[in-house]
Amino acid sequence: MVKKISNSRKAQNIKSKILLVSFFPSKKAQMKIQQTAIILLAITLLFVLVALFFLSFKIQNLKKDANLASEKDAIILSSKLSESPEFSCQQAFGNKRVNCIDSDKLMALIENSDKYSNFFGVSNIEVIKIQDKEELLTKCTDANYPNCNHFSVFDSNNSGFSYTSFVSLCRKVNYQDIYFYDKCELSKLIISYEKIS
Amino acid sequence: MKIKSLKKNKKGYLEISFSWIFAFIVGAFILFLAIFAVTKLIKTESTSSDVETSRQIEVLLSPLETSFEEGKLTTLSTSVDSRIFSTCSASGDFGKQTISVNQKVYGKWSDTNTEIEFENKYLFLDKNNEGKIFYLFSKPFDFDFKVASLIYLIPLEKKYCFKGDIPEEISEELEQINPPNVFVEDSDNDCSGNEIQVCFGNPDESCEISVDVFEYAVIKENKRVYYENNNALLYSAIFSSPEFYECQVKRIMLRANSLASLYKDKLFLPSLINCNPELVSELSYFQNVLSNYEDSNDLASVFSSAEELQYKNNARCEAW
Repeated sequence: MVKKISNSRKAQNIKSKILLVSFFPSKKAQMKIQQTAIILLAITLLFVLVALFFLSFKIQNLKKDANLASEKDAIILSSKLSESPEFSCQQAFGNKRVNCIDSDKLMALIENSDKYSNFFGVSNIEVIKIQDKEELLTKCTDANYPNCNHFSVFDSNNSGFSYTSFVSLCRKVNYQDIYFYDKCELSKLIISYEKIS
Repeated sequence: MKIKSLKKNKKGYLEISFSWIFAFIVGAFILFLAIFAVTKLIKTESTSSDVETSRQIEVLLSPLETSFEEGKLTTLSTSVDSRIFSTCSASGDFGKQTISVNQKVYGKWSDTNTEIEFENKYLFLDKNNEGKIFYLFSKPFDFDFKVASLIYLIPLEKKYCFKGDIPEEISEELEQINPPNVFVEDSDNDCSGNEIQVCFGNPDESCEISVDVFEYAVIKENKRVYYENNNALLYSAIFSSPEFYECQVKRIMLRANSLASLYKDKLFLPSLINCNPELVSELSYFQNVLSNYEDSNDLASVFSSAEELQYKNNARCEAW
């Protein structure tokens, strides 16, 4: 009986030794744990820092790519937008003209700019008449058209980048209610994109 | 030295110090975090690559949208196998189209849901577009005034065979554009039979798409859609699914309506007040017809109304 008790005690002792993994270590052991903890923490921090650096680099690259794509689009649009049905002269001024913007249609477009705010996928489209003398820019409105030189389709600040191409800006002029003649002026077409920052 | 703490003692059980257990747990946690981060990063990378390709397609469509590149074949190549998807919505002022790309990475298709959307382009493509090379070409769509350029996307792996009584105009045009995967069967050239058969005139069992040139109708997937005397719409009906075609044509009508409104507003400008007053009422009528447009069944009435515009625009002061 005594032997049995001593055996079971021995077994309990072994069990507790297996499970008991020094939860109350000595001072030396405590120091070791602290050392390990600090090293592990430092490694973790290093990993996190490297990951953050890598991520920020990747995000920067993504933004760069997105801006590059927008820039590419702006370059293409600046040379081709004048052919879009919303801007082009079509055959209103005689034969089909290339790089020709119908100024009267442009005014109608400015009046409906809210409707077209997402249509072209750009932040602003401007047309500026090139004149002999340097003149202040006068924004075209219903009240002052055609005595103005700056058409701005969307009222947005050009915070991003813009591309310019040259176009002819044509309109019909009423000559004393007798007939209409065509008047074309050299202008700059400016396409602006917002920069992703 | 540390191995000492892992040694078997005399009684035969493992003696593991707390620092080791702590190191194991934290190590496992760090490993788990690292694997999780890498998995996430791979997914983000594939998403960004998909979106980049979609954006590249959008940029590529810009010159095709304007009239410069009409009737020319453009090739779009991707470095890996890609699937191009598109959706169409005809709500709002112009409706919108989205495109998204899934790419094959390490033998698995990415499942990117990020879409690039645009309102001013009309890309016609079928449901399944897979491969590394895609061909694009465009055709102008106009009533009396230009409305849009319709762009068609065909993957290299999808081959079409046009056969039957093909109108000369179409066979000549296809010969001129010359997409390598669109064949025209005539007395000199035979199709291999593995292509998607596009039959003009009397269709037989092999025809997946049949074109009724007298009724201006295209039958595809057992659905009939209509085009008008305009090859641009005929190609659209052939190279896209019937539902997609209907939606896109509706979007084109929305844009035509807005353009008609622009021309009307233009004619209301004080400087053009006596320019062409008759055209204003005709444009209003045309807008009314466009507003009632439901599906391609209504195309005939829209086109006949557009013909009237043509006569009214030929006055002393043309609007377009």
